[in-house]
Amino acid sequence: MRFVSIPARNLSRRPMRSVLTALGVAFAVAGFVVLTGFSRGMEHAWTTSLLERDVHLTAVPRGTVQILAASIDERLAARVAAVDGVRDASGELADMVMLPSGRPVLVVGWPARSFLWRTLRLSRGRLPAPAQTDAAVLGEGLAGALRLEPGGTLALLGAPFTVSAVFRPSGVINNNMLILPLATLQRLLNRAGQVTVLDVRLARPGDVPEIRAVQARLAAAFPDLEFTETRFVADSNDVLRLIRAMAWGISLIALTIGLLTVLNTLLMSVTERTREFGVLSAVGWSPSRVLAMVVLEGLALSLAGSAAGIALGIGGLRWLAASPMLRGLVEPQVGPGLFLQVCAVTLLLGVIGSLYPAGRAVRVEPVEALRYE
Amino acid sequence: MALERVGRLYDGGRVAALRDVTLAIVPGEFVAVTGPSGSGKSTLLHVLCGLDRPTTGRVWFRGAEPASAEEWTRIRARHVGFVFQAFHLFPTLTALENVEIPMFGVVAGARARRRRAEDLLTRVGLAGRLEHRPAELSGGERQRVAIARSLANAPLLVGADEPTGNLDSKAAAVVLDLLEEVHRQDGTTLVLATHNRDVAARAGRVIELADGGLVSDRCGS
Repeated sequence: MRFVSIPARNLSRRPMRSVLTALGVAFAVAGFVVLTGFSRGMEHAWTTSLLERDVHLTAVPRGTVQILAASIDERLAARVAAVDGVRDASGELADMVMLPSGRPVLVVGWPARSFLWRTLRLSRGRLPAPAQTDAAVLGEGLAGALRLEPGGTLALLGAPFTVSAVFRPSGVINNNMLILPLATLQRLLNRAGQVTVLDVRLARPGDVPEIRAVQARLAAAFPDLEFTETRFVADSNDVLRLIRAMAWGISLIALTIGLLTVLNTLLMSVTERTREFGVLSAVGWSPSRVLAMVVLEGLALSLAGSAAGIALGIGGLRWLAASPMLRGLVEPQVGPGLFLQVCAVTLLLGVIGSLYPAGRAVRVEPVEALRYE
Repeated sequence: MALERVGRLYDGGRVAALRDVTLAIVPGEFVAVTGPSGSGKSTLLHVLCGLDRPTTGRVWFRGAEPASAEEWTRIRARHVGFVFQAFHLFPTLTALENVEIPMFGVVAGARARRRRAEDLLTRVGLAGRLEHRPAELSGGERQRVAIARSLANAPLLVGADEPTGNLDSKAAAVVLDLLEEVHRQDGTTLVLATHNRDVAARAGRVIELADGGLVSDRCGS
């Protein structure tokens, strides 16, 4: 018999209790996976949606929390484009709009001659002519969901539109996005002359000192705007930061409950087995060996729970990502980093949850345990 | 082994389980500790085997006076085996695994532990019960597993606290024969606590206690 099989035998003594404890850990870990994967997914989706449009810097009014509510004068785009080191700049108006079917969709408006149009990889149809005001371009995901092809029509905010093209993006947000001419969207949203964000392309996007220098020039020229490198957009966005903080906060509560579950089960188990710990001490087991046995029991419970929790969490994330409210906004992120975090959390759960019960087990004197024989 | 003016108090000094006991046990002896219930037999056995520490006095083992709990743990692991009246086997482990338990930290390797446990269980007549759990064994068989467990690390001293107390006369005879055989063949020191005079009569030396004090110390039959 190997030492590691002893904790397994101890846990098998009350299988239902062990299974329920592992389930408690599983739900805690699943909560962690879902919430963390969800917040990471949102950050990843936003960052990808900007990067694949070849946008190097984005500008929003300083102090903006809710990007979709931000307002910038569209004429600023031309002034930003004139700054040394900037290759191009474009305004972009964005909002969440409900389709007649009840499906929420991200709608953006781009100026007729914006560089953004040229970043689209069209799979079907052609880009709308600059003068065409009722044209819509759809991401493949949205086009598939609405069963629309170029030439098809859809109603949006009470106005009819003709699909002129379908494009194939890699990010989930762009995949479910609908693009309209800027002037048309401004009219439909009653936001004439306004955009929500300025998208900036740099002349030398790979030159980090040059990026810093351009950012400094832009900040000096436009003190009311905040220019952020696209790859750091997720870090600097208050909403995403809030979601991340909430995800961590709720995960922490869930994991604390998981930890208490392990602790409670092991404490009960240790109390029930007081006499056995006395026998182990009587036959010469050292305190460290007894401690190792109880800690291994805690680790076995948390590892089993984590394995189930990861599976549950991934399932939960997929379900969330496919739900009507979030479809197209989140791309679940469950990479190696998250698994490493889960492993670390699992080890912590098992060890911390078992240390106190193990300490109790170690303190059992052989005679104290056998006195009531 | 030797006890020098050993006293053991419980409940904050209100109960004296042992009072001023001094005795020495020569290696290879078979000693029976007798006396009525509450006379201090079990306490004396626990102190002798390092399961309990005296409140007063000194305890010597192999010519030295173990000073720390760690030293006593090491002595219990390597030099002492103990047989309890209520067997105290681990219910989730098989007979074989129960015997292996004391070997962790002493006998290296799962295979070596298993081989030794098989030999010991064969020796106590349980070769056909290796994979049985305690619940599947009779009382006598459980006590034989406990004896095999006490011998796991070839101890110098085996303490047995009323080893036949929970057994019928037939099983009790088998267990006593086995303990005597271990004592005789291996030269193991055997200290057995019993209130049964017939059992005590099998020992080479009988120590009698009353109210925690030594009443007599004489040669057995």
